[in-house]
Amino acid sequence: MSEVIVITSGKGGVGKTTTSANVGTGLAILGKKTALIDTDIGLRNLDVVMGLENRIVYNLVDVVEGNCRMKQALIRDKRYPNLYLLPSAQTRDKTAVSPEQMTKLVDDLRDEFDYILLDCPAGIERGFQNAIAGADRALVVTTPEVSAIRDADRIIGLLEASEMGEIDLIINRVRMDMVKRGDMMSVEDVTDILAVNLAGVIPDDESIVISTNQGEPLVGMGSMAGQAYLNICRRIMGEEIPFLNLDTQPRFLMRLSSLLRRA
Amino acid sequence: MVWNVFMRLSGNHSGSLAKKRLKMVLVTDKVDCSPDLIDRMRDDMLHAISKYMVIDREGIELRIVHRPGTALYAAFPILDIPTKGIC
Repeated sequence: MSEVIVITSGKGGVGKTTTSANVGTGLAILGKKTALIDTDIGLRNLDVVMGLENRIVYNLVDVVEGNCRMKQALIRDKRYPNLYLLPSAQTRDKTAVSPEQMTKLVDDLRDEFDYILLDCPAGIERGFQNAIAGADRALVVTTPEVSAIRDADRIIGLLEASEMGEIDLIINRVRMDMVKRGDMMSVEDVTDILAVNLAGVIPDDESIVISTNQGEPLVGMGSMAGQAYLNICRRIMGEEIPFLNLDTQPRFLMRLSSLLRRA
Repeated sequence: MVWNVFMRLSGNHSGSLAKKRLKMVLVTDKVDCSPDLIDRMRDDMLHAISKYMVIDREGIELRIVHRPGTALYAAFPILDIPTKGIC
């Protein structure tokens, strides 16, 4: 049985695309056949985060308009053979696709894949409506900042109004050192306010920047963020996984180890 | 630096300030309701109050105010209070 998950946030720049790439890759690592769909028409990014930007021939709009078959547009991942990307179109805009067309496109993939992940554009307009149309459940990404949480609250309201099956929250870029000294909202503060189920917490980790530079998602690798993403994938698959203690590695040790890596 | 130390000693961390501001802004966002909702609320309230008082329908005022705090402000001018059979 396949499941369609939309990754959304309202606000831009909180880590939707990074989360899509890592959760998609993580599900593939765990043996699930997974399709990642970049629905951000006009501003495609998932291809570069996945390191697949040089392999694009056809895109989502080509499939919708019948210029190619779905199989021709799907790009197989360079590391995991059961992971595919359907890239977005860069030279078109959001109105090139309707919510009905997106629902049909996603439904056509259901027989083939265990998980279909939709990377949603920022905002609440057409692109958002397109992305949520065909989804069974949603992952809402936020950071512990007033502006991001305000937008997440609005998005959760819109998802509830559209009768989204399940809504889970991912809190990204948490800095435990700042939370401890009271200068950042804690995970509890955020879940208190948003009142949805927590799927996971990703620490603010410089290895994310490095992995994006390299075009290779870090899920399942040695870093804390990589571990946190893999745990999210297991929770999506229905496993009960305790939350990581993000406070195990003091900041100065992290700095020291990164210095040693560089040397 | 000195300011940071002062803020910390006085228990005013920026994290809790953020939470307070966020709660406030969410309440304000949610009560920024549509004129249609205000109309329906006015009709429902008028219906309830009319059981006990005669109201000047033209003079009704209903709006949401944000300072101090967010509140629903309602004024229903009374024309008459029939006493028999009610009080």
